[in-house]
Amino acid sequence: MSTIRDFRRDTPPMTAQAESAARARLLAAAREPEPRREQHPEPLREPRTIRQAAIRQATTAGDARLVTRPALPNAT
Amino acid sequence: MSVETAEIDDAELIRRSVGDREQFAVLFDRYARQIHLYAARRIGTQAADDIVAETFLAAFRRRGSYDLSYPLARPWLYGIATTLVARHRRQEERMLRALARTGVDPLPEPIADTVVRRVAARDKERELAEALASLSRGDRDVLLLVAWEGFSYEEVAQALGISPGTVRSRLHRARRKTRAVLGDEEL
Repeated sequence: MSTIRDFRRDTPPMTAQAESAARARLLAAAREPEPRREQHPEPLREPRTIRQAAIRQATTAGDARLVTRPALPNAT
Repeated sequence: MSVETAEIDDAELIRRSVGDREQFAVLFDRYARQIHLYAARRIGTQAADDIVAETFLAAFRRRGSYDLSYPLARPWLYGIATTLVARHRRQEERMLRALARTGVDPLPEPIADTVVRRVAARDKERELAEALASLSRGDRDVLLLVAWEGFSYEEVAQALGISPGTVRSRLHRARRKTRAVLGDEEL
């Protein structure tokens, strides 16, 4: 005999009423329409648009670095 | 459960439920009662009613992130249920301490029960209740999943999102604290 395995082993099982209510809640959630995001996914951008955006971002970041970088000594 | 779904593993059901959402109810039919018993032994039947409903709602909403390489969803579902039980941690510890102190288990019974069974607990049960109440929540989770539900270390790790090594160390610590009651009982 195991003390811990038998601890509260005689706890009453789930009632049919509680089971049916919980199952009904699950089914109601399953029947709800999908969230809007899933029904209307954002259209994919054209590859060219993505490339342009990436170039624009890289150029801007590069500008910022140039502005903040201290001047380098001249090469000898 | 239909014959058609009886032999399909949980991962396949979850995969199918992405397209056919009501397939998820088969998982409910498989595990709701055992999860209810687990929660009810910890925090009482009435709270367990809510835990079961919320566990399956949460699982349904997160089914897209389920790792389909695990054919059995039981540990995943118990993990969600255990997280929900944690919200009742103080209630759980209060009831365990009351049982240890008085020998009467205050675990709430269903209202429909006309005869409330309040059997005086044996000394060993009282000591065990005190020992369980003194454990940290994480140690208690591991101990009860192993002892009551027969989970392997790997299943507990999957359920609680911890490593098998952490499961081993938590179980070792829990066993050390409950040794006075459990002796050398195997878990």
